[in-house]
Amino acid sequence: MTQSSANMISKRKLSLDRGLSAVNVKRSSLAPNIGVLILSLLAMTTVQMFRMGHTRSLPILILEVLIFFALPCIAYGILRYRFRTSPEFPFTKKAIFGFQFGAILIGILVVLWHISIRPFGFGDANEIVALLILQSISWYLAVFSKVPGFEKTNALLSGALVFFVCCLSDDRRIFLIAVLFAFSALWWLLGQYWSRLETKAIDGDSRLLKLHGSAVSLTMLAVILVACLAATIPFVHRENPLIGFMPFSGGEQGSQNEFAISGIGDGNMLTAGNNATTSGAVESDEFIEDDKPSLYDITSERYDGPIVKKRNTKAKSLAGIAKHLHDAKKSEQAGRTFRTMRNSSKTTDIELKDRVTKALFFVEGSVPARFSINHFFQFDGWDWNSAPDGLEPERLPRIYMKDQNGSPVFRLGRSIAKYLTGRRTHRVKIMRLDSKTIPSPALLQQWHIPLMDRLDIFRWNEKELIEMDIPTIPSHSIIDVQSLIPNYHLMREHPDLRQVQDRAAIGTAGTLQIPQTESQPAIQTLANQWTEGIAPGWMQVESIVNHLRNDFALDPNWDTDEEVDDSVGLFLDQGRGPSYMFATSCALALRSAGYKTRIASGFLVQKKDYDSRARQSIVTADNLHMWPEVCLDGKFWIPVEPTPGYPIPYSTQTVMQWVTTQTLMVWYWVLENPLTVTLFIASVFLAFFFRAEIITRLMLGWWFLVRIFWPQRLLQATRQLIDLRFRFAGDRRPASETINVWYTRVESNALSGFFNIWNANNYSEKTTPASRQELVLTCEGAVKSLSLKRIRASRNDNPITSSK
Amino acid sequence: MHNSEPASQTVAEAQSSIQLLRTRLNTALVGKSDVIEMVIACVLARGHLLFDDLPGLGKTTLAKALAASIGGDFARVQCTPDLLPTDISGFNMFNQKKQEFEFRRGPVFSDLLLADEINRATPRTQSALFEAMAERQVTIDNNTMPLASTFLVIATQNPIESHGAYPLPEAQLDRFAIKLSIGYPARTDEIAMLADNIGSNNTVAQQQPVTSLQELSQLQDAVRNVEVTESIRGYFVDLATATRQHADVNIGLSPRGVIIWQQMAQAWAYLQNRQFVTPDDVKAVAKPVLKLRITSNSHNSDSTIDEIINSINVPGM
Repeated sequence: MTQSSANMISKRKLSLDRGLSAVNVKRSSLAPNIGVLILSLLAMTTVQMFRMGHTRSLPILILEVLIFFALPCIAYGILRYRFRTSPEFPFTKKAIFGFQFGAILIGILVVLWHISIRPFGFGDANEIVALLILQSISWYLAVFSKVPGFEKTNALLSGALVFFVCCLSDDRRIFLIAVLFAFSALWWLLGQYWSRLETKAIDGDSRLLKLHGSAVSLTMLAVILVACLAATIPFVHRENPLIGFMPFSGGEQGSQNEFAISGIGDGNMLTAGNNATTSGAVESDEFIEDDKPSLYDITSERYDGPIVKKRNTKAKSLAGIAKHLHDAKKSEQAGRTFRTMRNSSKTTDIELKDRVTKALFFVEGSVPARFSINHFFQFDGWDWNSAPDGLEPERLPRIYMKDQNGSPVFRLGRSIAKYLTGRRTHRVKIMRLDSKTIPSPALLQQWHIPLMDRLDIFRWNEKELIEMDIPTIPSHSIIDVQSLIPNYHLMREHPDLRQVQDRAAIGTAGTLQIPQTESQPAIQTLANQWTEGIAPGWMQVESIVNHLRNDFALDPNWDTDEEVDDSVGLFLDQGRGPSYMFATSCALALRSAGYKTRIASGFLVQKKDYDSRARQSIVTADNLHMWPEVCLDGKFWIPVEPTPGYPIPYSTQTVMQWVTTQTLMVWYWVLENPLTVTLFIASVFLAFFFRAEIITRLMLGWWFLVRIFWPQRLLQATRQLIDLRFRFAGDRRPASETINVWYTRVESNALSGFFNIWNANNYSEKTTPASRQELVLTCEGAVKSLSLKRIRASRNDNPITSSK
Repeated sequence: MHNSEPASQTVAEAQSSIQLLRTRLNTALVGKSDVIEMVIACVLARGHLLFDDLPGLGKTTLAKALAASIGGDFARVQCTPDLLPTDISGFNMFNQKKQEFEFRRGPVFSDLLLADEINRATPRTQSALFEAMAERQVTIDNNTMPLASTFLVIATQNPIESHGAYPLPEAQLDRFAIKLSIGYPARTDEIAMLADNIGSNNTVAQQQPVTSLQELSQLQDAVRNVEVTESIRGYFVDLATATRQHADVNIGLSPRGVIIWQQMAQAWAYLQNRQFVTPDDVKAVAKPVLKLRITSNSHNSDSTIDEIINSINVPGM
């Protein structure tokens, strides 16, 4: 063909194409643009991460995300299946309208979803729902990005979502995702426009600016860097309820929407005074009229009263005994002592309604959380005592006040250890708690009380807790407390934090005291056994705690014996006991191993205490708990939980650490269950080697079911079964080949009847369909003729196919 | 069992006629049954046939055998550069006795016209066949004259002679149904052919026809009634679209080409004793139909056509 004729043809083709495009609808593949999909996924991640930090129920959130992720994908799959024979999808006006309607439908479904789950205590504030609608539509647009106009709209919408969430969030991970989004968006723009930016040189020729290669390389490098960075940032999961972000969200006279509780107003849930964020007057006086129980009452309600000591009665005068008992009760009432021998026969189950009215305080924020109101340092075999020998309050961190965004914040002046990598905040609303001590989470760092700007009102008490210089903290006081969160991985990596004590170490004298009781040698032996072969430091602490959790049983109704002088000995003998005996034994074992330990008494707030309707945790006497705290570096007391069934204290970990932990857990499980693992691996290998036989036989089972129940689908089932056999024989039928051609390569004679029925069924509407009996016999014949063995043999006989 | 009865002829009678035709042609051209099947399909589809092959491979023999087998008027035109359009269509000649013009019919007024070496005729002469092939009529001096309903053109062309040859334009190529190459016979067939020629003077062309024009017309009508379901029609369109989008194809299949392809597939299905078209029928006639119509940048148009066919999923799965 000459050059002129080739030009003529190409021009003719061009004019033909133009003519066609002028009269025809736009046709293109329905496959989505990968770049837009990535942008939308990143936008979805930012929105869901923002929301996840405040969710009421993580499973519901995950379910919702999966549903609205899957819906457009399913719609896409259906369309692809419907138009599977056509490489292009005709984007007629009607079709485009349908796609646009789909976007609206997705938004409506999001609303309906939230309406349907709200009666069950889930759901989100209206503005969050609006955000989710936009996010779901964005994903829908990304999946159908080939629809005219959808691609650019989605890029714009995704960008707006990410920008909006970044403006509202202070989560560093969200910012990292936003950086990834920015790089991806730049990449997308380069790919879409700038790499094809057409310019005209002086000679008039078109030139293309080629930036794509370098842009892709730089972007990938940036993505890898950001991903590495993201893997090292610890994540903190919060379970406090989702708050809205619009000022008009909620309000007593506004929407009266219980799901809108933020902003300047409080939702109607708050008007009853049941929420920690309430700062106004409370209509109900039920709390005010209630008596405030003392800490002694609370302890007695939770653990019952202490046993009266009968020991040494012979050696002491009656007057002395009377004085001892009086002092002990008075001391416990003042919260300075705790007796481990108690009448634990009574259990109290407080109903939810009672729990609300008997609430000591409310907590907003993540759970589990521990709030200390007392610390015990010395143990004499029966009683824990508060005041330690040689306590040096002057060495405790200095309290100072700092202005933060116009509000006074009280802070502890101390340098933060490297292993304290996270922070979390709780809001506490005091109700019936009769204490001047601030309920302090472990590792308290700073706190804030509205309208409180006097530094001199706060001081350390002898229990090493912050207390207010007032008789008791008034009801309805709101205290925001921020605490540090340890990273156990970092603590494990450190050789022995006891070696890094410096001058700033707080006074921890007396925290290694061990009572000289009969059980002391046993405790020492156990401590040695449990720490043997383990590097000194946090791992030894974890070992002791884990042994207690695993080897002893929790028994709230512990049988005490008032004749026994040594409660720990009784606990060790029985192998069971209440939570305070786990704490006591753990503390003594840790001290025996050389770790400074104290006992914290306070309130453990768990997931079960969370009231989804009020979106806060209700703390009653039921939450009273005791746990040990270990001081490794002389500066920070790290809580541990030796009581089985109780949640381990909160900690942070990076993605890498999480992956490492999970991997190690799996590895240890493998080592502990060699037989199971061997059987599993053998099964997997066998299943892999015989996968063809297994899967085709399963399919044959399905074929038999179809033959019985859905004979009208028997032809298709037969074709699918035989196709599967060809596939496992390594001779997969291409979608562009007919079964006649493909199957005849193996069996040419016995299948003519099957082909006739197949062709008549699929390609003729006028031909009389075969009878059921004929259909079944023919299909059965085809299934028998084209067995997996026969197909394999045929493939091996054929030099062309066998050489593939 | 699964086939509906044709309207005017029973299936047995129709297949009997076709079998006779098949046997006759196979006798004339030994060892080329696949080509002969395609020729019969083309005749049944009312399509015109273009043989594109080297000299001496039996193109003319096959054409003559076909004409003799059908039993209609046969005309042959040996195309040369000095052949005039009127030599094909006919002309008005003044009759001095009657003192009037009378029309002298050209070879186009036959039932089967063999245009030998058509690419040696000038484009002007080639275009004289346009109207006859497409509309089965001839217009001379504003006088339109219909041709026979079974009018069939069998043209041959020699692909290697470029000197003094005029390649057929796309417009004219599109009027043919299929393009076939006969190719060299197999060794055993060639030996048999030599044996047949010893002491024989090849009298196939003088034998009696095996089917009448009326029967042929009925067969052609029956072929038109072969069922083509929507899924198969969609398959045709998808394949046609693929030819238009393939990188190696300059000009894809025209809508007229798709129609002819469908007619060929119907004829092929009829030859297989079926009253509906399957994807296998579509594929069977794809190459003869497409080789004529798509101009490919690739030297091997067969592989381009294979790529196109393999790119589209068969319907009904």
